[in-house]
Formats: sequence, C-alpha cells, structure tokens
Amino acid sequence: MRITHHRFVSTVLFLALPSWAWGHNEINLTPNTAVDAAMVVNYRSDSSVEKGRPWYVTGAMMGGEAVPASEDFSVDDLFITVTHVGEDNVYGLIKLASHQGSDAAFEHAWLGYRLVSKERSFLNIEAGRMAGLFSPANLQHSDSRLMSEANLALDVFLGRQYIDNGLRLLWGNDRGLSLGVETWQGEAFPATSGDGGGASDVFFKYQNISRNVSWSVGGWYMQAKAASRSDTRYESGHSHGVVVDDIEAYWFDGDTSLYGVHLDVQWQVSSRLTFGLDTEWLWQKVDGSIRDETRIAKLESEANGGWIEPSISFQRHTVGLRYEQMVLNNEFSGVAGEALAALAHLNNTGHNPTRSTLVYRYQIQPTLALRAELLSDKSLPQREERWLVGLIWEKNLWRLKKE
Amino acid sequence: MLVKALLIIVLAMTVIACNTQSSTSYNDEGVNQSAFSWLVPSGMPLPVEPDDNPMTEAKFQLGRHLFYDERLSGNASQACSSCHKQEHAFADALATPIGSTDEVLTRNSQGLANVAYNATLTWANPSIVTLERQILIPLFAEDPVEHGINDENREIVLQRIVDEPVYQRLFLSAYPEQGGTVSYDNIIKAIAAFVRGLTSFDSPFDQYQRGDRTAMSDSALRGRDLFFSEQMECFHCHGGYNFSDSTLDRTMAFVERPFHNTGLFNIAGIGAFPEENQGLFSITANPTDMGKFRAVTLRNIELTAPYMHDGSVASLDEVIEFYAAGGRIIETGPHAGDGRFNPFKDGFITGFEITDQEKADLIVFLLSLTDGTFVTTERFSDPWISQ
Repeated sequence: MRITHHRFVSTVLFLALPSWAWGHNEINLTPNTAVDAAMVVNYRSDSSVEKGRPWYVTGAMMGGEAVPASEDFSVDDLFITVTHVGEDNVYGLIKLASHQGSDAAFEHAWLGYRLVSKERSFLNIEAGRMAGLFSPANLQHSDSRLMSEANLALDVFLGRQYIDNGLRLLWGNDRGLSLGVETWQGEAFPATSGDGGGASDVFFKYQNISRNVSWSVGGWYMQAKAASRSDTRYESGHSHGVVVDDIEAYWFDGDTSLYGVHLDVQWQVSSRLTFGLDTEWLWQKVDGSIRDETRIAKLESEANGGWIEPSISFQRHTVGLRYEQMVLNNEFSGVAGEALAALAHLNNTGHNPTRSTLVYRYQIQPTLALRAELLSDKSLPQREERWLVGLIWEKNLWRLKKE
Repeated sequence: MLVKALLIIVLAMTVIACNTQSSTSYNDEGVNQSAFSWLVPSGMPLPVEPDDNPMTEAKFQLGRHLFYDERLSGNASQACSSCHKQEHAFADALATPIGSTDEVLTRNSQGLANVAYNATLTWANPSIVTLERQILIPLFAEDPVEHGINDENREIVLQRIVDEPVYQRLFLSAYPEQGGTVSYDNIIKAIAAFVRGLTSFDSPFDQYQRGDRTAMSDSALRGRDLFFSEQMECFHCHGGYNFSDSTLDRTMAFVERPFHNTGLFNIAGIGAFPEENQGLFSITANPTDMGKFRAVTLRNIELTAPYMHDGSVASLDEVIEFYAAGGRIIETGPHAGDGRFNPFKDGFITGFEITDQEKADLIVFLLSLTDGTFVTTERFSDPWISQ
C-alpha cells in the first residue's frame, strides 16, 4: 500500500496528539508501562530577589508556586514518573516531584480512558490531579523548557503552573485539530476550592506539517473563581525551600478570566539545522475585591503578558533567546484602595516587567544536556543581570518489554 | 505564504502587547482629602477626623498652646506637657507620672506619636476611642487627680484662659463661627486637634522604606528581619505602619481593638495582676481579660522608657529578655508569681532563644524607629517659650 506524504504526516500527528507537548501529559498511547526520571541541577549567580525576601512582580497578585529561582546551587526539578497504558484503553500517570528543594509530593496522579477510538478521531476522558492542557507551556518544567526559569506570564497569571484536581474531555482528529474542556476543583492559583471557588477552561489546538515546517497554533479561555484567596507561596511546607516571614496578609474574592494564544514553529532547514519560534500571549481580567483584616476595596485589573522565543539548533547545539513582557493595569475603588495596593504590591505606575534570556544548550548524550544562560531581568523595577550553568538529566529507568 | 502568515501573527501579538503602559488608578471617594496638612508620607492613609471636630490648622495651633499651658489645671501647676514631653516623644521618662496634687498615677505616660492612629486611646479601655473623650480623663478625673479641674475650680480655670490675650486671637481663629467662644468643649476639641496632628514618619526606618538604602545599618536590617520573624513573633502585636495591632485609619472598614496579656504578672499562680492595674478586666469584668493591655506603637520607643503599662521594665534590653523568657518571674513580695505560666497570657508570648548579637541587632532596629524630627520640630514644641 502506497502511503502519501500527506497521509504519513497526518498519521504521525494523530499518533502524537496525546503527547502534543513535552512534559507531564506525554503518554504514548501504545500499550506499555514505563518509569522515567529527570533531574535539573543549576548554579545561578544571583536570584531576582534578595535571599529570604518575598517575590512580588509589582502590579500583580502572585500565588501558587511562583517563587523566584534560587541563587547558588539548586536542584530545580527532581521527579520520577510512572506511566501505564493498558490494552483496555485505560491509561494513567503518577508523578512524584520536588522543585527547588521542596518536599517531594505526588504532583500528578490521573487516569484516562479512550471513550471513542475511530480511524480518524478519538475522544478521551481524563481525571485526577493533573496539569491543565490548555497551554503547552503549562505542562513544562525546567527539564522540558529550553530556558531554565518558568515563563514570567505563567508565574504571574497561573502561579507558575496550573495543577489541580479535575476532569478533562479531549477530542482530536487526524487533520491535526484537537479540542478540550477541563473543569477544576479550584485548589490552584488563581482559583480557590469550596464555596465560591472553582475553575474551568476550554481550548483548541491545530497542528500541521507542510514540507519541512511543522507548526501548531492554539487558543484557550479559562475562568477561575476565588473566595478568600491568600498568597500561600511561602507557607510552611509549600515554600520550595524559601523561608520568608514578613508576608503581608491579604485576601482576594472574585473572578479571574484568562485568554491565551500560542504558536510554535519548527523549520527544519536540513537534517542538522533547525530554526524554531515559540510564542504565547496571555490576557487577564480580574473583577473582585481585595481586603486585609481591616480594609476592603474593589479591584478591577486588566493585564497581559507573554513571550517570544526564537531558537536555532545545529546538531547537538541549540541557541535561543526569550523576550518576555507584561503590562499590568489595576483600578481600585474605595477608601482603602491605595493602602491595599501598597500592601499587596499592586501599585505599579509605569513599569512594564520585562526579561530577556539568552540560552545555550548542548546535548552531551541522549540522557544528559548542559545549559548556560544569561538573563537581563527587569521584572522588578531595578534591572538585574545574572547567569546560570546547569545540567539536565532525563532517563527512562524501566520499560515493560512486550513480546 | 505560511511564513508570512506566522510573522503577521507574531507581529500582531507584539503590537497588542506593547501598546500600553502599566498603571494603577484609584477612586478613593475623597477619603484622602483633608483641610489639614497632616505631614504624612505619600501613600500613608490619613487618620480619622471626627465629624464634629474636623482638623484645621487654627485648631491645631490653639491646641498646641493649651497643651503646653499649666493654667489649664486646678492649681495652675500642670499642663498636658508635664507628662508628655516632646524630647521623650511625648512620654515623660517616669515609671508612672505625678498629678498636679502630687498624686502618683498607676499607669505609665504613653508617647503621643501617631496617637491619631490609635484604635483605642488608653492602656486598657476599649470604649475610649476618640481623643475628645480621652482628654476628659486627665482634665477632670478625681481618682487619681491629674489636672485637677473640678466643679469648684472649673470656672476659675476657664477664666484664666479667657483672660489670656493670646487665646482671644487663637479661639477666634479656631472657632470663627462661634465668635471665638472659650468653652471646655472648644478647649478639648483644640487639644485633641493638636495631639491628633502629632504625626511621626521620619525615622531612619521610614527613610529606608522610602528608598534611602543608607538610612539603616546592616545591624538594624538584621534586627528588622528578626523583628518580623516567626522566631520572635514581635510583629504580630507590633506590626503595621504604626507598629501596633491596635491601629485605625480612615481606610479601614473593620476595626480591631485588641488587648494582650504578656505575662508580666501571675500573682498566686491564678493569672492575677496587681489590684490597681488589672487591665481590660477592670472594664469588662471578664476573668479572661485579666492583665490585658493595648500594644503601644514602637515608634520612638528609644525615647519612651521605662516600658510596659506600669513602667516596670527599665530598658529595651530588659524588654527583650522579658519576651525571650516568655513572661516575668517575680520571686518574692505581694506580686510573686511566674508570669510565664499566666493562664491568660497571649499565645504569641512563647519565649525564644536569642544570642547577644541578635539582641544587639534587634535593639539597633528599635533605635532606628526614632524620629529625630518629631522630637525637635518647632511645630510640636512649646509656643509659650517664644512668646
């Protein structure tokens, strides 16, 4: 049987759809069981904030796991993942992870079932503790990103990474289109769980390969509700090893809407040379109120932020540049607006946070890579330059071999 | 074609992202408007002004004269400034003050820095929430006597004020709608206006907060970190911009008026405090309120020794030792008892380990809260000296 180039590409994409991004939800649905591990060790010349000080991008409410990268030596990521795909269309993933010295915890534990598996489309249902699939960047950690540090926009808008207990329906076809809907318990920033909380999102993605260019584009919308949300980043046992005492206490009640569009292009000029471009932009709207123990004010925010990341790979060498920018606008109503803006570090008057990262990555061998970075960080009003060298180790420890 | 389309998408995203500047805007409903110049830093919330006694400069200046005037007492020997001296941040450096009739009071004179921000005004009375009400106590109280104004001498005292030519001008300026009426109501409102205007936000700590990185030494910064640490717990009761958890300003919707038992006494092991000084219990009669007092501001704390509600702790060094121990042990005498085990003691007074260096750093930090301008500015000084 003659297979056309188009048909071949479509088949590859179809098989690749469940693993459409590096990272947590990457499961090849060929029946198998595997244990994988990864570790990222870095040395940084500096951190974006003084040691022991909390990190606030002025103008944004921070939360989740968004703590600054550590100065000196740091094990940024350490995880072990068990994946299983059964003959019965049931699959699942368990991931035990530690980030920046935090206590190891089950970061992911979810099950999936392929409800419909036709020749040209599928429908999966997945449930458990998992990362939102709406943005490809939401699935990444330091090992799977080109850059060592999380994207600034995700740090600010999603508390680095949206991982929550939830339910997902994912549909895809052999033309490269996939659609998904997710509903969440709301245990992750910017949502809260319980009464008045919760989150949900919808997303689409289209992937294609034409000649030697593979590309994907997608969009998503998320709504998160919060009741009495506080900044828990530095609470005991949840601080990624960062100990900070003087955290001002405030609470947010209200809705957060997020929109995002993303684009990824890989242009394989030759078997040894590839140009890449990755970009995503997020828009955030906040409508709610902010309060401390004695004050309250209404808060409406409109913010956007994202990154553009061109790269070039030649054999084992990759050089990339990531430019990030955010625009943060807040409008307070009420007698306590100014005081609460100061308390919550939301009083941004004219500073657009930006950050530029130049990276070089050398794949020493399939399981080990060297990474070096130069950062010009102006996410805070004062500019800071810092550099990093680090190692990335990724290995399949065990795989069930089938006859 | 594809490359062009992708470039257009990227360009469009970049344009969308770059066309605005970050901003923060406020609709404060006029709360930061005042006819009075409060002399507080930008961004600092303003104190509450009572509806029946709005702040004016004229009232402030009249109150300043009255505050420093000994004629405002029964025997013309006692002014507010007798127990509230500017060089001591308006405390008096005594354990407990002495009234106009030489009666010794039972509670330490409090400093008056930023008293306008106090949620309650005295050491342990939750019902006294305005300066206008608080001022009645020193002027007219009979037990103990402070200014000693009573039914027998109140008209005499008032006449002294009426007879002073300077006051005729000041009262007319302060109360023009009343034709400059000299009355106790207007006297009290004017003194309240002056005391309310005693703001203090120019310490090295404040200067550091405003961006002067040379204002605090490394030792002071280490002390600051200790102060705001869970190890020390200091900031729970002495936190916020006024270093007191009993703080009120015009931005607040929910008012807290907390009082704390720090384990100074535990007479007979039943949590008792000396009979004449039992704190909030004296007002509420609730046994669990025994020994509870307001956490005073730590601004200018260097100048307001001795410390605690009864002035029984002489120095900052002793204060830190007291908190490090988690309470005070009194081994002999009528007040004997182990304050560490006072059953009504605040949960934050648990004691802590502290090295000599840490204690030194903590003290240097506390000294950085001294506002040199506050204790020297002519604006708050005795106006009669220049007259």
